Amino acid sequence: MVIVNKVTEEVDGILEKIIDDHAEHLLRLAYFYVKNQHVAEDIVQEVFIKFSEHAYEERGQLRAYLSTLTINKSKDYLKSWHYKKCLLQEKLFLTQAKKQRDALIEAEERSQIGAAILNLPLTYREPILLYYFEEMKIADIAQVLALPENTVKTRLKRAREALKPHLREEWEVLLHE
Amino acid sequence: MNDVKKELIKMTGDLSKNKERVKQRVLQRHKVKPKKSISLKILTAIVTLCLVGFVIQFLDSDKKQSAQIFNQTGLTYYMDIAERFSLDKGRELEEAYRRYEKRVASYYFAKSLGIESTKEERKAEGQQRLEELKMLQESLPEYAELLKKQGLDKYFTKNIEPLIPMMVAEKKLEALYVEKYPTFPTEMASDQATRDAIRYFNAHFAEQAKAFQEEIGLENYTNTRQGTIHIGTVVGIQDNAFLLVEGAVPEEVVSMSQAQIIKKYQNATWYPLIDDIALQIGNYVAVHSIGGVTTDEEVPVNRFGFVDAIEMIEPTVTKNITLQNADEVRAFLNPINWRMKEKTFDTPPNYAFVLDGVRVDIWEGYGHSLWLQAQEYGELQLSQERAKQLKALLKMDES
Repeated sequence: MVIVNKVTEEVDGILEKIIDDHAEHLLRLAYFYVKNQHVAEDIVQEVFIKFSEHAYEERGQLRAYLSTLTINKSKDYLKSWHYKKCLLQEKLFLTQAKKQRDALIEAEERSQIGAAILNLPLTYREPILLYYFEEMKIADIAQVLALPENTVKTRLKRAREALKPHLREEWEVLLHE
Repeated sequence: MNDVKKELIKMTGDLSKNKERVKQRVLQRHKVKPKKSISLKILTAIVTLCLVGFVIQFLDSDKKQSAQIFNQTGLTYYMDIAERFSLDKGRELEEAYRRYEKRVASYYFAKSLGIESTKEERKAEGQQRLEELKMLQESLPEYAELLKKQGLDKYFTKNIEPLIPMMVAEKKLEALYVEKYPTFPTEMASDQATRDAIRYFNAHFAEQAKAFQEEIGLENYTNTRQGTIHIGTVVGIQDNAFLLVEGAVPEEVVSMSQAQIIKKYQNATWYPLIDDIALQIGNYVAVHSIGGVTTDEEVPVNRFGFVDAIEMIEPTVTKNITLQNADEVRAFLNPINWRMKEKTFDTPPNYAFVLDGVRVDIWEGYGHSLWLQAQEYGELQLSQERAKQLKALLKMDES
């Protein structure tokens, strides 16, 4: 029993290290999808719990694996009844809507381009996030989104065009990529 | 890290408190429901033990080696695990084989490096694995069901005990790589060990692997992926790793400091030195790579890439053009619509020049056309006529 306890402690230590290494990245990723820090926390919490309950061997690609879980969970949330109910509540209760607006203004103060990306519809926001934040190749994005590569390229191009009015001069390089 | 990513990170602000909350909740739940929690490391270890066990049984037999590399029994166990734990439904056979092959490859590679285990190491490993298997049986209904038929002790004696030397060898292989590449993230060093093991395995056991894949009905399987070729100059060497700056040419090492080159190209990446290649600062090389990691550390270079192959390139193969008429070249290039970089060249550029601090590489294409690529900017192809104009502007025929 002592050995079992020791093993459990070791397991906790490993999990804690993994959370330390990846949690902030995953929190940001989830936030870019759901635009709500509390929901992002819940999603990342679920991701780590699911991760700790399943077999996983591809240690070198751990971040990619955790990111995929986070993306899937975030999209599940956006499709969920709970999210739709929250949207309705925001419309009904102005305080919540104001809170959300305040958070977005704060985000804009920190980074104009970041806030502009956050305001894109998911169809265009997602390829931008995967390309720049996850630093994935077009082929990999196509695989994750189950889309043809050309569609991904088109969405990236349109997303950049949509961002154009928000870009300062030094960001124009983005438009030529 | 690209600039957009930096801005996205800046926008979200400090998330350390959010992280702590998540950590506390996850760990709390982990402790409250220990029977539901399962460490991947332990699960992996057991799976590995079972796999290696099947391998060692055959290693000790008198059969010819080619017939020993794989066997159906080893795969069956992996299938049992994949069917119970795989997240990729419908592809269990491929996943089972991939894990199986990876373990076999690691074992043979470790052996080729002379990694052996001592009696004390085997004894300690065996004791640990037995206790872990007991814990798994108690914690997971899937394992309880799997071990029910034979019984835990019999199963351990038959399938795991013979594997202990191999388990130790594999752990020692990973430890060797972590020690060999001390500046790399630990996970990357371990994963490079696996990649090197797969390369070694492909070079020595490809036929046996193919035959076994046919036997089990696994079609179109590959363990190699199309990587990217990065052509550049070695600007630093430290702790069995080299710092490559893509696009930089050897003469820049003479005229500029390391920090200046890193700043100029913004793509410096540390790669592990493999196959005992004796690289030196200033070498012009092509690195075949797929995947890598960017850490959050505040160091001059926090990008690390995996390596599948390194090729030396003649340093004079790319002719550097010194612009004498920058205004004209700028006027020629500015109206052209650059597109996203897609094309991968497997040879270094024929020419290169720097305009407004941006390096532009030029490849000669078919029909006297030219391909241009600019770091972090894009690419374009010039037709014969336009190429001729640019060649004249750059005085390429004279260079």
